[in-house]
Amino acid sequence: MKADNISQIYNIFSIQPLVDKEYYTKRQSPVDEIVKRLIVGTTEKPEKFLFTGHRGSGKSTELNILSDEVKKYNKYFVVKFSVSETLSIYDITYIDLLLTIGSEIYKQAFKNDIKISKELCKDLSEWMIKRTKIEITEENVSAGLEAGLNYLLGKLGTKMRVEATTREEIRKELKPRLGDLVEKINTMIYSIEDNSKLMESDKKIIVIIDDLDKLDLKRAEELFYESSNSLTLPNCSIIYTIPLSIVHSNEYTQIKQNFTDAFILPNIRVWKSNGEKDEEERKTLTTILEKRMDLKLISNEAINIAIENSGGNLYHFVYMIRSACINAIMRNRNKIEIEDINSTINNMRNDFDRILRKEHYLILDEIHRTKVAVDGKILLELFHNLSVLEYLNAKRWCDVHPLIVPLLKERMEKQKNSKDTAR
Amino acid sequence: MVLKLANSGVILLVECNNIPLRNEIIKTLNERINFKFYTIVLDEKNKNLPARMYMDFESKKIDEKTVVLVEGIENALPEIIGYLNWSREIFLKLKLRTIIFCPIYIMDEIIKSAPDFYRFANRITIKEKNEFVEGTKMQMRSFVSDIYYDNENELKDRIKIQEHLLSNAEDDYKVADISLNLGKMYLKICNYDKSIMYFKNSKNLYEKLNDKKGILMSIMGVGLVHNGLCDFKKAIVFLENSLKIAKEIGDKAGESKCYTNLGNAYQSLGDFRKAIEFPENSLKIFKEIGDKAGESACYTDLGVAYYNLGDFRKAIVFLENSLKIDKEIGDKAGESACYTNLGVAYQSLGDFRKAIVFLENSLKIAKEIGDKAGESACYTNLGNAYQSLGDFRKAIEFHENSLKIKKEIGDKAGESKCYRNLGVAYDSLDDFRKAIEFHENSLKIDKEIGDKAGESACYTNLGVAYYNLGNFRKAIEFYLKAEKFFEEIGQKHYLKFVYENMSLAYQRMNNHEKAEEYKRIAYKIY
Repeated sequence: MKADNISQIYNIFSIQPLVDKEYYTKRQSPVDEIVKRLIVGTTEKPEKFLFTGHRGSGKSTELNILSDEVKKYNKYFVVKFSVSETLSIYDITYIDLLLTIGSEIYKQAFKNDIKISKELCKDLSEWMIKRTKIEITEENVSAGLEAGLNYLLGKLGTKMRVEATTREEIRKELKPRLGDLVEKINTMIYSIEDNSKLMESDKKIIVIIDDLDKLDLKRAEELFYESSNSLTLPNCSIIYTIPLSIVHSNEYTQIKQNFTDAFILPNIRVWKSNGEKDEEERKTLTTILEKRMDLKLISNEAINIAIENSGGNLYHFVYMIRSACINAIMRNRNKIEIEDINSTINNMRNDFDRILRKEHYLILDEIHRTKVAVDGKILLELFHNLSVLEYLNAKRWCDVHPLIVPLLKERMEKQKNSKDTAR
Repeated sequence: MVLKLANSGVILLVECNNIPLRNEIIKTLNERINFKFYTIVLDEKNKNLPARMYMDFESKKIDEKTVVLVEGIENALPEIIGYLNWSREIFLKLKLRTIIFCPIYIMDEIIKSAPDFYRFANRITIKEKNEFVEGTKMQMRSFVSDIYYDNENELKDRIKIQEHLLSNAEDDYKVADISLNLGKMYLKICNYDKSIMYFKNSKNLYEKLNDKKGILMSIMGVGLVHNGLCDFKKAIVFLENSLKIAKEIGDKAGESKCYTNLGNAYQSLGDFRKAIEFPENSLKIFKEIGDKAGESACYTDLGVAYYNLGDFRKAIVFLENSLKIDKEIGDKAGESACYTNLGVAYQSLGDFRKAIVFLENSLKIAKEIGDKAGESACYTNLGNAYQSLGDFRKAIEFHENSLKIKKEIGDKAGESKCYRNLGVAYDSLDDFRKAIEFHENSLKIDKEIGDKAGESACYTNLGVAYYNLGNFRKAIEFYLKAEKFFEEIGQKHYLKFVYENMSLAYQRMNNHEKAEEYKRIAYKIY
């Protein structure tokens, strides 16, 4: 459905990842290459990919698209989940993640009526009960082993998500038994792939994990640096989303070694690195608008200013239109005008103003002048809070988020003046 | 001898952990020496040995012709050390013949803190009787077997599942992974032929896949199989190969596993210096990568190595470090193992009471976490501790508990070991017929499961039982059988025991020629 009056815009421009192609606009994305690698690639071994991009750059949407694309080829049994739904996003270790990978695979298979061998099911259930101390009730036993295990894993999921002490206990229990855990997971993978439903077409399991980029920087580093090795142990293909800031950390080269490849979803380029407008990419953003709304509901100037100030970040872009429509409605207009966008922009800029500190501005100034981001702890923070955006042409380059540029100028001006008066 | 020759005061410090053995010595002394014996037992109220002796001398309870036997020195710690060092003159002046029985740990204390007294005393170490008691072993931690299981049946089920999967698997990476798992599992149940077959299979496939890490694990597995087969030199060759790969690919965790396993292999080879060096290397890495569990395992291994070197005190320090970490990270099984190891260490120091406290802790945890095998091992160790304390009935009680569990979980080899320990306990109770019964039970199982080392231990123990019954001919018969088996499996140091026992038997048969001959042979070993 396309918005044809202003009140519909708010709902249609919801800030959720797209699940189908109704509003989807083709853009420059590594998804095509990933699909090709998975389908055509000689799958001698399961692939482990890293997938990253700025927050709000449209990763989840691209992963949904990827999942659909992969399904079309009938070569994979896709298990896709988001850690923000299955785990406590503020507290995730590799043990939790491995455990979740295992149980999501099983639950997905169970849902599709793909059974594993009775012996294995018994072994897994007994092991789970022993290690997690979660009991199976009488009813579940009568429902059969498979259903019992499904129930057990569901309950484990809830406990892992909400009970911090249970989480700690299970980690303590499993940490010294990592080998065991991995063996269980892999045995289950093989058993599912042995099922006639998958066997016939030689389907393999692929796990797509979304929202791992929402971890805070420290935890993400711990997870992917200290335990990246463990994350590659499950013997099925896996795509992990990671925070972009990891890519810029010192440890990245080492992290990357453990995975087959890493892909970055670039921001949509509003400018070229030489300062010219990038008309082709701007068109992508216009198309996104066009798919969701009748363009007569917004003025051309408003579109342009929204595009330029979004910095090509899809979250910011969609958010701008969404709240601008509220502004327009409040002013009793039925068209979004430039001032509607501007007041939204001011709000968003104030948000940046609150989080940026003095030392940030010095680095932002350098990046804005040179279009190059040198590494450093502060830079990682800046990437994480979207103050610095990365773009890809043949070569990568960076710039300060356009919303910040006026703030930056103001700051540098003030500093210069105070230096002058000091003299 | 010394007692007879001495015309002035003499002090014998008899280093002897085992209380029944102590009683036996006293008995023998009584038979052989024509002196009066007077026993002083020290306790908490009665700690000042020199003063006590002076008093008794004054009151004419003892004189120059008496041999004073001092027992219970462990009850008089720590004050006794000072008393001994400051008042050694009393011993001289009174011209007394004194025998002080003292466990190793007190001997250490005396050497350290009462040097004046020690220089003046004679130290005699009494070796224990050559019976085979099973069970009190330190538990090393080996890494590659990252496989945990409660009993063999569970593991066998898992093997079945893996073998079924293997029969369907087509992709190389799957076959390699499953083979590696099977190799590890068969290694755990000591089926070395199958284990090595699977490890070799996985190695070939990982080579094809160019998966260095897989190759590393497979080679390590082959090394561990050789380790299990007691071919330690060969094991070391493989383990060093895997170490090379780990270093090459910068796999820190793998590298430390290699060090640990190499440490274990050198430990078994009896090269304890090297057995200390390797865990120290791996300790460094574990500290670096912040792997607490690994760190703790290294401390345990170092503890065991120092234990084998005979430095029990240092061993205890390391074991306590390991215990601390295990408590911290909540590794219950590890904690229990630490308690066991500490128990064993204190046992070797002769401090049985402390040993029992640790062993009971270990037992408590094993029960708590439902580790049946561990529980049974604790019973065995406690049984052995009480055996050394001379409380044979209690020892039997514990061994019977252990036996019950072994039967329950179907651990045949363990069952046999329990029978053997029960046999030894009844032997000490002088119920030789019952002892023989148990040793024969044990023998039957060992034959059944083809445990040659166990079988020869049974023959030895049967020999001892018949010797005690006074049937020396039959005893020698069994010793000869034991000799044959020990030779077959190449356990030289056990042969020494057998020869010593044979020498004793011939002596009692008044065949001094043969007795001397076997004594000589025994002496030559080592």
